[in-house]
Amino acid sequence: MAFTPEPLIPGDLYDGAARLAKQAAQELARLPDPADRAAALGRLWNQVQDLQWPMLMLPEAAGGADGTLDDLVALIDGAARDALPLPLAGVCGVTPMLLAAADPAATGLLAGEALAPCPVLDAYAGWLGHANTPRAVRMPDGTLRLDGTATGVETPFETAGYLLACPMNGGVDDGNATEPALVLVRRDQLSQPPRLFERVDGRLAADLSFAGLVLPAEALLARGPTVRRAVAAALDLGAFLSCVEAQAALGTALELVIAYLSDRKQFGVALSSFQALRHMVAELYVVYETLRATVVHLLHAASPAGTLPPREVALAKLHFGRATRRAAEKIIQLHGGMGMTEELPATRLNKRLVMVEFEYGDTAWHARQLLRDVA
Amino acid sequence: MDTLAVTNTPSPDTSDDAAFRETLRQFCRTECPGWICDAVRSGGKLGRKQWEPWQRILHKRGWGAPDWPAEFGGTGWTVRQRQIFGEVLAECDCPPPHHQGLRHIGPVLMRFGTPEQQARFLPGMIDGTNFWCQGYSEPGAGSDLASLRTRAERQGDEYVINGQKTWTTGAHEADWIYALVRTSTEAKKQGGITLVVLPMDSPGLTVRPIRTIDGWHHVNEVFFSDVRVPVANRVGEEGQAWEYGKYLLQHERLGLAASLGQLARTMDRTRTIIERELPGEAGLERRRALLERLLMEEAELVSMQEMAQHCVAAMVDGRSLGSLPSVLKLASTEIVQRVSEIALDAAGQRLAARYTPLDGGGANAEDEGVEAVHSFLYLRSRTIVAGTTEVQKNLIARSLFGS
Repeated sequence: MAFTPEPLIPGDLYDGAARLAKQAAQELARLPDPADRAAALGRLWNQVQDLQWPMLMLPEAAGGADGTLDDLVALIDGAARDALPLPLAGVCGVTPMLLAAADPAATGLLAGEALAPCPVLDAYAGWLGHANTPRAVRMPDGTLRLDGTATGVETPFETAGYLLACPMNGGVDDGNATEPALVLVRRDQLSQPPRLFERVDGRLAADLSFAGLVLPAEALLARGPTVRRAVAAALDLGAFLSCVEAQAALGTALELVIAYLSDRKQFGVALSSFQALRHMVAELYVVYETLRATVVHLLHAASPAGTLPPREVALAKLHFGRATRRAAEKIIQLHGGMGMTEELPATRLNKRLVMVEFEYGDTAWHARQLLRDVA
Repeated sequence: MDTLAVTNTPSPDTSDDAAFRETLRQFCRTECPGWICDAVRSGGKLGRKQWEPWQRILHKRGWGAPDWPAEFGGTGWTVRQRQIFGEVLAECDCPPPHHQGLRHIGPVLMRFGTPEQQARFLPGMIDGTNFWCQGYSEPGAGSDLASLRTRAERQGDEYVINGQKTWTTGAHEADWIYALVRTSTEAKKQGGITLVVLPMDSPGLTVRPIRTIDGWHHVNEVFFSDVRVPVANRVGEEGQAWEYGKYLLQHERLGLAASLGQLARTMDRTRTIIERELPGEAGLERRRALLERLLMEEAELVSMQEMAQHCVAAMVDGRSLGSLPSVLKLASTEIVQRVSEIALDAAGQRLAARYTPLDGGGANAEDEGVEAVHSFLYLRSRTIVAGTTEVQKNLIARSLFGS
């Protein structure tokens, strides 16, 4: 085959993640029942934890591997090649970025318990648009009271907890002032069990309700401007990792399209001999290379600490949101009727591509942010 | 297949880069005549009138050939320095280096020309005294260039050329033409093609302008009637020019890499046009809509710039580029066209109906912004020249499918 997508950053992390993703794809393809698939995702998540990937980006002092952004990208890129439906970007990337705002001792504690919480950023995810986002009040006795809901939180089948960033009242001398807070909510502390869903791309998501949930004082990991900065950096990182995943998924989808058109015959000749289809594949390849170049550009633009330039991240999301959906549509069209079936391996990747638009801000939201100075 | 990897691209500005950028900036701001900057800023079509004096100024400073190695009189700059040079030229509204000599036939002569040819032709490109044009396309040989029929018959130490070239950009201003001619019909059609260079004032050579939809004069037909060219003007081996032509076309496509800085500047100008044409509360809704479309193009431009850096770095290192030049050409020309559509949408309502005043004069230079209308029409050619978009797709598909 003339085209095989190359890793962005080759190495063991990429290879290991790609292997697990391939294994997962084969296993999940045999399970038509969503409940069985969810259980399988639980087992796969256990493997992820055994491999200690959630520790990759935590500081060495907290028991982590002190990984770099390149390490994280290698991991996410490898896993996304086969659209591994696990919340690696959130737990291995976004969560550590949020924890940078917390006391290293608290982070060490989480690492010691192998507690890899899922990030919950609804309160600062302006694109969600729902009014009842999570909020906290610090009670006079130091406990925290949480209210509100979070929707579509990416999660493994059973997570040990959630890392919630939300506004908090009562955390400063002036009890009416609001400041950002970082709160750890252990799963067993929830008064209502999360409601689980399977997303379009086969990942699991949870709706959480915090109505009146009271947590002990130690649940508050950090507060104030450091949390605000960490949340901004975490949102940018999440958006960037979503782009990394999309280019990887598109690379594999392109490889599969080329194989399909080369093998399948119509009118006695290979589909790959029809110029209309060849041109459509060329267009896909152009999209793939431009998306890849955007990711490479952002990697170069990142600071040594892994923070990314916000405007360029927003531009990238604009580019990806539009391009990935068009690419998914083309991939379906190129497969003809087969493109509409669940059994086609490219379908899983296609669904992943469709989902990218809704992660960390859609096209309209990012455009609005970039144009907010236009009076 | 070559694809973009993380490790192959230059890093952002170092302190040396920043100092270099500032030196260039100072030079451009003080040395480039205002009337030339005005012409660039207007978005109009540049010609020899602007290019020649600017090239002489660059040459005087030792920067006449920013992309060439020092041994041929170039600056010997690194990839990063060349990129910065392109960015600063754009930022300061200076013309980019004229492409036909410096970017097209120049590199071919460096690679395939004799030392005598290099000594004879390269200096005139650097100092701005010689302007070149390209004799490739013919009435029956555009995308199918190998079907070209302009004949060159060997007679002693000369070739006698008969035939016609078309779409010859700048032929009316050029001193020299490099042309692909057929010296044999016996081999397959890609064989038997030879590259020659000849002066535009050769007896038997005539130029006729082609009126194009944009209202600017830039392309021509060139007719050869028993035009005599010394064999010493042949570049490389007889019948081997298909390979040289492909080499040149790759440079031509990569020339786009150098023009991306200009595209970024064009986006700035388009933003200005939008804000000027659609002011205040009345224009708010349309202004926002057009600015959002422009953002989409800016988002894609980022990837083009990254890819361009990668291509130039790979070329300098002698690494394979695969089909990336085609990707770059295809994607960037479509961005250029869409940006010009946005400018047209902003200014067109006022100006498309007042395109050419009938009370004298040509293009309506009195109306600020009218160049956006000309430019929109002119830029339709971008997906046609240097290999149409469809040809690029064929090349990419061949590389992806292996046949």
